[in-house]
Amino acid sequence: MIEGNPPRPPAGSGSGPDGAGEGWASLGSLLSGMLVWGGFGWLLDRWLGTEVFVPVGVLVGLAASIYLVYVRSGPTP
Amino acid sequence: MLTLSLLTGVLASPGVLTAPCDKGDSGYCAPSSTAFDLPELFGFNIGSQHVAITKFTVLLLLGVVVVLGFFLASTRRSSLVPSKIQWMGESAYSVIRDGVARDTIGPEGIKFAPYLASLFFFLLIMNVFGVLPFAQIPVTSKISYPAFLAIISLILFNFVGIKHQGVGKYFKGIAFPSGVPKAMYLILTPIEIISTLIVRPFTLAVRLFANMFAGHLLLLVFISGTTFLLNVNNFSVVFSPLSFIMAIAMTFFELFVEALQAYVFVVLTASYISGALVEEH
Repeated sequence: MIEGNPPRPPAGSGSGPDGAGEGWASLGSLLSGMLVWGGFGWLLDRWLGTEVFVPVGVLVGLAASIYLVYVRSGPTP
Repeated sequence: MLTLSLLTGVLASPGVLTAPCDKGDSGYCAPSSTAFDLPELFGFNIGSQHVAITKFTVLLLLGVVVVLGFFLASTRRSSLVPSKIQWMGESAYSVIRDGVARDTIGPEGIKFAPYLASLFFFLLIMNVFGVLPFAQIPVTSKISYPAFLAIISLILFNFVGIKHQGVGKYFKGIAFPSGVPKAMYLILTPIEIISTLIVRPFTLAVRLFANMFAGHLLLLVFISGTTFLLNVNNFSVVFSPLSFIMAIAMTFFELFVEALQAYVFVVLTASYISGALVEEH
């Protein structure tokens, strides 16, 4: 086809021309995972006077957000 | 034009660094964040609130006038056989309409193309002021400008999502990602809410601001380094041309970064709108 345009991603796939949107969304999830649960751990530490829940929270948040990114952007079955 | 930019930069560099600093042993006054505290050109009071007009304000207004003027001129006498300026305006617009609005959002994205194109060309000129002669500071290197544009993006994509899906369904889609076991919601829901409503606009603003801020400082370091090394009375004077070459290279690199960051901001805004349009994401 002479006038044929290059194939476009399906409408509203949520990904930019080069998947940039998905990439930044993943980064945002990783950041906020650590932020939210690390912050929760920090609050818990303040409350209980301990020092262990910040790293625990950061790790839990990181694991959860990696899981989230995998579910959202990983291989489709 | 970039040469002129460099030249005026070198000529102005002693004046740029007038803020007091700890010169240490070397006598070199390294540029710092004070380089962004530009003097008040004139000011007035609204009630008890003092409004200071600085170079940033002037450049902002100039940028608005340039973008507005260009697109008004290119659409004023539109005809089937386009004039040169109409052709330029239409090509520029179609880059964003086809390349961002349609490719990222899909056919529904066309109706967001006017906003996305305005945003892109506004940001482009705001950023490119960083290497334009006599302007020579990106307006977006002040966090308030990217921050406000990011807030507009935040309001826009949430409004689109609420309008398109309804309040309940939209926020349910954000808070409860599909395809995960119910027990995981306990951990994932706070992440998703913070990620969508706080981290998105925050990273949008900071990415643009930090790139412009760091880029401007980089140029200041090499340009002020050139003049400093030129005046140093020892062997180190031979490194002055090296610093100047780096200043040239970095000026071109900054031009690239400035265009790229304007594009990234627009693509991400489009991608957020796209996410708000899709049910279940």
